[in-house]
Amino acid sequence: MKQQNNRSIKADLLVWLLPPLLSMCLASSVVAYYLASYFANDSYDRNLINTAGSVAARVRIGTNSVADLDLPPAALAILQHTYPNDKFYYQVLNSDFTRLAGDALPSVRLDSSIPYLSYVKFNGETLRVAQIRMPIHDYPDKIIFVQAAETLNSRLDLTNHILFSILVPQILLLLFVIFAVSFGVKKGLKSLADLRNALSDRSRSDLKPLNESIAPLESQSLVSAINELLGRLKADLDAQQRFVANAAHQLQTPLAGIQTYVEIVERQSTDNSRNLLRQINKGIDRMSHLIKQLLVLAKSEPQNNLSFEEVDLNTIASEVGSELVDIALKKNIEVVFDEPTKPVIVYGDVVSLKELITNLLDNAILYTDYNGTVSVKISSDNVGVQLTVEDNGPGIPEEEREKVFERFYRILGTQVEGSGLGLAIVKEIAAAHHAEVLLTTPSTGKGTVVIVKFPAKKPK
Amino acid sequence: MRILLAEDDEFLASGIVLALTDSGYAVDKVATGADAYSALSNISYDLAILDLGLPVLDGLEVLRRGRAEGLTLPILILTVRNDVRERVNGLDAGANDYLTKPFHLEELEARIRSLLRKDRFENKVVVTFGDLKYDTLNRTAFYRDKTLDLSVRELAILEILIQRAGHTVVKERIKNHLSTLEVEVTFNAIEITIHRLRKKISEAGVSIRTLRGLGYLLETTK
Repeated sequence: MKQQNNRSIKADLLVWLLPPLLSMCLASSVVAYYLASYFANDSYDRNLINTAGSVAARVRIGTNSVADLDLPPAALAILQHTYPNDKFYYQVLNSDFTRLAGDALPSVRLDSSIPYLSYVKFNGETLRVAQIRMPIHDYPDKIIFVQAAETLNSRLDLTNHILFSILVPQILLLLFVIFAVSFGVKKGLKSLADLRNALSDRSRSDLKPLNESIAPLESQSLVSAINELLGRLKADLDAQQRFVANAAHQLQTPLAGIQTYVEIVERQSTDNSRNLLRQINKGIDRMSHLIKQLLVLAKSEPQNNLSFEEVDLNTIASEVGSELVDIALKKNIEVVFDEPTKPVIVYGDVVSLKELITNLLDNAILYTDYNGTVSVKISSDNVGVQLTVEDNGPGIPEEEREKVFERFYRILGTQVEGSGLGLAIVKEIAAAHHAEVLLTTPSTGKGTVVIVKFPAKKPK
Repeated sequence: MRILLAEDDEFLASGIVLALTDSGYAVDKVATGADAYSALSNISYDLAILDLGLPVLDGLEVLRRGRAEGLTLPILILTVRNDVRERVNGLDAGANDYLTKPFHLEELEARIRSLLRKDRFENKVVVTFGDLKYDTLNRTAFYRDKTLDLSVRELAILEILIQRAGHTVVKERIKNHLSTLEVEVTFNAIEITIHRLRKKISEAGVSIRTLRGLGYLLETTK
């Protein structure tokens, strides 16, 4: 079968399944990521608020009632090294937001009684800042703000970890789905492949409906559609064949009438008009031959009931050969029959095989010039039986070789009066016998070789 | 000789009748199987030409019934059915010959002569009576090496008489073999033809004796 750019069911299924799956994975990843980072942030923020509380606990009011921070470097180091990747900052602000101690953080100055969280830019880094509001012990009217700030590295690390641990399984799942779909589709389509095999293994002539029971439920309608098509095809072929046969039949009687009248006139005619009448007779003979060929063609179409049996191709060929020797002699053509010593058995219909060989020999003689040679050879081996008819006539050009098997196809420029049906008949009969017809050029380079290859075994 | 032609195609049938009449045969033309069957049952023909695809009653059926009822005349099937199996069927139904359309008139006539030669003259190529010879191949009568110039009607009568040379042939038989369904030959006309024929064959030492009210007899004069 030809590979065309047809849609594949597998690709279709993947196209339809993957985007939803992918977006579902993506959506769930996004949601999971946001939830994770929310919870992560939340715990980091609590810690930061606690740290701010710890800093606040170190604030003392000095004698000039100015807040003083009792934060020895060791304590600060502990605070700063909570997260090894992050920098820690703090700042203590007065109630009027003037800085009392710590780093000079820019901050949102908001008077909030609950811990207030925000992001600020500091030294080119984004910081998370937690600010708490504290009344100072023993000075209930005195309020300070303590801000603790840290860089976001640890938070980002955690978020990335979470993201990674969500995404990797998702991607693995996705890959697995692709594999499973491909595999499943292949498995699922096996019954379609079976169906295809059931169709392609058939002989040309076999237009019987498919067995619906072998088809899976889903392709049942396809199978019945195919069966319906096969049925229509068979009916059409039958009708066409009947038409050809009937037309040929119906043409013969009036033609016989014309022929009879021409011959009556011929008997009564003078020499002069006799020549003209001979031309008419030639026309009648050609037409009559054509009609006979049409009938043969209609009958050799494979759906016809041919009676197959084991026959000796040798006998048939020599019979046909002796019938055609007369025509060959008229053109002084030598017919060489290369006869094998033992019978060559093929499984076939005697009448149509005879017709096949007659047409091949007829053609060879017809298209070979005076004093030419036509040879017939039959050989057999374990591959099959081979009938070869060779002539040293003008030959068939390479580009015409396909077309000469078409009905009524005639090579341009040929003067010979053939019916144009000979090789079409050969092809039909060969097909009915599961035989192959090949056209080549003889080793001498001039002429035509027709090879008909019959299968060795009895066809199914 | 009287021939029945059963052919439903009027165009072809007329042509065949024309040609055969020209050759001196009396030809009856029917167009259906039923008519063919009744003609065969009622008239004694020398030969029948039967198409197979006849309306009302198929040619093959006419053939089978006719043979079953003991008809022995030679029957030639003239048909478009060209299959080997159909040929075999036709011959096995009792036909003596089988010719397919289209055909050459020459061949049809040769086959008719051949069938009649076998049926009427035991396949003899030349029938001799006295010094008169009748050539069944070419349908000519000659004496020594001289061909007698006979009209088709005279020839037709000679053919009937020479089949039973030396025996009486009743005049009804002659009338029956010369007439057709359309043209009835009168005894008077037969008498006139025989009179001319008698003259032409007299030099061969053969004469036709008239048995009044009964028929005719071909005899040698020596």
